[in-house]
Amino acid sequence: MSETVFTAQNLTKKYKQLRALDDVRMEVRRGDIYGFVGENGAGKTTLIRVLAGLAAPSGGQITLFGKDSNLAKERRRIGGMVESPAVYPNFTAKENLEVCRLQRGIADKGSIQRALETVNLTYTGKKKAKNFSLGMKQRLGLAMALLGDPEFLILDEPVNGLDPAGIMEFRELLRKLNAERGITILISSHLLGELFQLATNYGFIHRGKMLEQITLAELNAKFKKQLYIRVDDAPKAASLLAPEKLEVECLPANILRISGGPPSNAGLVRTLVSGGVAVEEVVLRGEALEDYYMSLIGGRH
Amino acid sequence: MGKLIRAEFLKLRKSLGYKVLFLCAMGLGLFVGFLTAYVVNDFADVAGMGELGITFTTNGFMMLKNLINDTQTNVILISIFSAIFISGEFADRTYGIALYSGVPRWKVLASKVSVYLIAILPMIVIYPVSGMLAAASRYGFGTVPDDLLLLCLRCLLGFAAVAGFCVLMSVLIKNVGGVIGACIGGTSALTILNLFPKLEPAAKFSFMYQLAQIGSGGWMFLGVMIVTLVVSLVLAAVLFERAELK
Repeated sequence: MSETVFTAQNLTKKYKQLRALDDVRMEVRRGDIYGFVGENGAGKTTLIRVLAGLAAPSGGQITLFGKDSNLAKERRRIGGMVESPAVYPNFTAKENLEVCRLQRGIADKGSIQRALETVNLTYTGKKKAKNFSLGMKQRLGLAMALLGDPEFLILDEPVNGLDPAGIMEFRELLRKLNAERGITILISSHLLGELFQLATNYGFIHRGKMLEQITLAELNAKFKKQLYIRVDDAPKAASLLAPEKLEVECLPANILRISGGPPSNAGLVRTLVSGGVAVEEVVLRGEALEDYYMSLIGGRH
Repeated sequence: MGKLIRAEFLKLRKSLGYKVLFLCAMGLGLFVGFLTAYVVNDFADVAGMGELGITFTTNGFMMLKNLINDTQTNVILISIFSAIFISGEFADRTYGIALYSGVPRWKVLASKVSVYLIAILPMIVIYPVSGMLAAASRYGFGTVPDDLLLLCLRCLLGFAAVAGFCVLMSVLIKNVGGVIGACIGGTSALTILNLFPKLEPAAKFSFMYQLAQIGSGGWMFLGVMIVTLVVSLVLAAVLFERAELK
């Protein structure tokens, strides 16, 4: 059983009447890339702020690296970027990192250059952070988080506002940090397609409640498969498939969406063709993370 | 703690706001000094006021004493600096960088306030000193006043109390514009209380009342300033410890 890096037990955070976190239980293990999934306002950032020490919980307990007291000391092993990256706007990238280096008590000045190289931000020279593009600020935020070789990286919506190339670059960088340096990563996002390409474990939060924690393998096993068939006469095809006791839905452009575990794709096609329906295209598609999340929250927003 | 203080000095060195405030204080001191020495005195001579026994002749040390007593200018400078240096980090969300690096909150605030108090010193010194030099360029320095050292010590303690009040406002309000407004407004309101004799028994316990007595204040001055400084910093520390940071 791998070591637990972070746990939350019955964690609650109240803002007057609002329960931003409601009895949350959560566990992140060493080596995980933990995708923290939830819509805006679900409680992702609140939990991360409690974890990072920016806000105090109203109830419950958190542990870091197995310790539940003197968390400030344990937070020295963490690197974080909460919401949009917080940087000193009038400082250059190097100066921002120098402040971080001093605050973290890191003696090695070479760590600044290494962090800049890791995020590919060595070229900014005397340009001040306030003049950086959003992507550059995100990379600077990540460099600041990586300073001092943290064991646990907390990233809250790190790809917000990045262009597709930037998102891809960021994803590859996080994969590399996880694989090569063994850094455990907690990453929150509402870009579920992006998370699905990266995370090895998932936690689904909705209205402050943790709905489910699941591994990637478990998630894949749970995904429903759907068959899309394009025919020349969709109503006729649907009536032909009625005895099969499947969920058949007619979509525009004579497309049928069939779910509920078709026994055999070939058998279905044979049934349609023998009934005089021309089959033009057959596509098998897995349920997406979005669909799974929506099914968990019952389609509510 | 030493490295945190070094980090704060690095921030101070890069602070454009601090540099501008320092230059403003120096410019204002020179302006007042030259204006008094070269314009007001000449105007008084032309108006024949000297013959009536009225003189504006101000040598360097006289100007120094006058400007040390100009508490309102220093209050404004300290208010603006505290807003920039302390509450500015709430707006930039940069306190969080230290917190999720595992630095305890009290250390974050203690290092910040230490450097802030040290940084105020050159700012409040340059104003009277530049005024003194400007005045001395025409009338010389004159003789050193007997009570100069005592006045300087009172000035240090008095402005440390003002700075403590501004730290409290910065942690409480967090917004740069709001902090400047609250500090200048709050100190001005306390100053206005001094104008009502009926309120004097209560008003004399305020630091702004005592600051008006900077040239003559005794034990009462000492007590009010120390209590203001300590209470303000303790309250600021409690508020900072409980603050929800972004």
